Amino acid sequence: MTVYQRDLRARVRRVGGLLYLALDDQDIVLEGVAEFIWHRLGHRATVETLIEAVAEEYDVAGPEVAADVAEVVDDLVATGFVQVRGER
Amino acid sequence: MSAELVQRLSLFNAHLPGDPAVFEGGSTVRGWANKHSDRDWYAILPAVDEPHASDVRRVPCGAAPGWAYRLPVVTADGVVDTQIWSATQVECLVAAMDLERLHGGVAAGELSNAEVDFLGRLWHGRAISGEPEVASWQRRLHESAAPQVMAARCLRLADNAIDDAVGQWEADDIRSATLAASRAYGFAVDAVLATAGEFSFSSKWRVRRIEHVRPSQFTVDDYWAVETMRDYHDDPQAWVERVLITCQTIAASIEL
Repeated sequence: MTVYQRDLRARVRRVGGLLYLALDDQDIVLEGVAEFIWHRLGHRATVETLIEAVAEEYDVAGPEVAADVAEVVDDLVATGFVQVRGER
Repeated sequence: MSAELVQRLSLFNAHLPGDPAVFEGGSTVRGWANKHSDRDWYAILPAVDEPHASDVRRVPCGAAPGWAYRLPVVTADGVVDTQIWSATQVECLVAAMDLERLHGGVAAGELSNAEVDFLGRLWHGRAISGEPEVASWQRRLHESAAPQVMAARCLRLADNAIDDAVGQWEADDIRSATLAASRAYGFAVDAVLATAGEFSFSSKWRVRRIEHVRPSQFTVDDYWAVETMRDYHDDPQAWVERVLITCQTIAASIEL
C-alpha cells in the first residue's frame, strides 16, 4: 500500500473559512472532506487508513466514500500538495 | 511630564503641544520587568524635524516614510530609551493594518522590525502624557486588522524558513535544516500570538506572551518541548519533519 504525506513546502493560509494552499505555480482551495484529508496527511497515511478516518469522522461508509477519498488523494498528489512517501 | 522630557522632545519640534502624546511600552507595562529591564517611552509628535544632537539615533522604517529617532532621556529613575515618531508615520502604520490591502495584495512597504515593535508597544502602551491622543491611536490600532496583518507577516517569514529547511533537509544538511525549522516554528508561534494582539520582532518575551494568550493551538509545554528540542536527539530528521508539519497545521488554524 502506498504511503502519502503532505508536501512540507506548501504555503498554507485560511481566509473566509477556506483553506488555501500554494506550492510552486499551483494554488488550490480545500474545504470539507478534502481539508480533513489534508490535515490527516500531516502524518504518513495510506488511502485505506484515510478511508477509515473519513468514515469515522463523517459517519459514512461504502464504495463511494472509498472512491471519493482516493480521488481527493489523487488530486492532491497530481497537484504536488501531497507526496508519495513509500510503500507499506 | 518632566522638564527633561519636554526639553528633549523640543529637539524635534520647536512648537511642542502642551500635552504631547507619550506612552510607555514594553516589559515594565506588561508586568514582566526585572531589575535589569530598561524602560521604553514613545512620543508621537504632530511634526518631527531633523534634530541636532549627538546622542540621537535614527530608527529605520519600512512602511512609514523616513525614519523615527531614539534618544536617552534622564529621569529620576534612570535613563529611559525614548523613540520619537511623527503622527504622519503612525498614520501610515495604522493605515497599513488593513484587511483589504492584505487580501488584495496591495504592497504596503514591508514593516521594519522597529515598526512591528512600535505597534506592539502601542497596543499595550500606558500613556504618560497626552492620554486622549494616545488612547485615540490605541483605539484605531485595536479596531484595525493589525492582528491579521501581523500574523500574515509572521507566516510569510515562517514560509521562507520552511523553504530553507526543506532545501537543507533534502541536501542532507540536517543541522542547518534544524535551525531553519526552529526559526520557522518561532515565526508560526508568533503568528498565533499576533492574532491576540501580541506583536514583537523579538522572541525575548515569547513564552510570557504564550502564557498570557493561552492559545488554543498549543500549550506552553507543547511550545517548550519544541523550543528546547526535547526529543530531537531521538531522531533529528523526524524532529525536523514534525516541526515543519506543525508549522503548516498552525498556519491552517489562523483565520486571516
